[in-house]
Amino acid sequence: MILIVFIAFLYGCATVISKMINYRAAQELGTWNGSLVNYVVASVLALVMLLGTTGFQVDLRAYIEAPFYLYAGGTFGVIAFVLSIVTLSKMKVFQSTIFLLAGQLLAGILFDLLVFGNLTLLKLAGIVLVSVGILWDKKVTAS
Amino acid sequence: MYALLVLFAGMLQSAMMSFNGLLSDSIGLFGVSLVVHASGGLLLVLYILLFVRKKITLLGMPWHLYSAGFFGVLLVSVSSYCVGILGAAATTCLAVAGQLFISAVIDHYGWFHVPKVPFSPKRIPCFLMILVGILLLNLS
Repeated sequence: MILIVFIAFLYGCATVISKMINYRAAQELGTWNGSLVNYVVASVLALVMLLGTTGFQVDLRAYIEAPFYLYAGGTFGVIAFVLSIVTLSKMKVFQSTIFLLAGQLLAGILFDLLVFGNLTLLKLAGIVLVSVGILWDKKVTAS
Repeated sequence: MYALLVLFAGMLQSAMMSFNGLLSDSIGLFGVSLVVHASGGLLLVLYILLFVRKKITLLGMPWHLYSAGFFGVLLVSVSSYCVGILGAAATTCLAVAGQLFISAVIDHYGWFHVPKVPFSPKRIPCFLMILVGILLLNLS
């Protein structure tokens, strides 16, 4: 368990580095094209990795048999990105961050309850403590 | 009103992570990364052409900035993996805790040419609270 917890923590660290690179890309090419670069390069790279790791034997039937609605993830991501960019000029960064996080946690807890079915009381306590700590820290650093 | 839109954006991000995690059971982590970035990229192209009405240009940046795509694959694959084991809420919590930690380190030392902001001792209780929460997540 400790390893996967650490990996999720490192994932967060990598997100920040990624955001800084994307921010620089946006300065070079503008917000929209700068972000599109990410999608295009990532698509090519993912294809290379997919072909490389499967030895060019991609199981296409698995792609057809997978529940179709699960393919909506990419669409959700783009809508979320557009919403966060469009609303950023209308509200403070601090507020935007808090509401984004609240939405993530709200939906996250719902998914854990309804889909993954792995929400224990101890886990919920951990989630609450981390969330309150994050909000508290945001308040301290914003003032 | 705008707050609700941002809240909705957050919910979509979480839904994306959960969907990706579930999809990776069928088509693997790199398959998910390909599908997510290709479908997202296509939609973004349409949005830029139809609503932003900007010309699409991808070339002309310093080469190292194209590593954004590397991080794109890495982040989608790793989050899909974690969400399958930890669940969506705990993955989000841990990821944000990681973000706070590395941001504090980057600010403190002024890495990546950001202005140096020394770590404020006022933040220590917040970080301790987060740490206790992480330990509980680890036990669960």
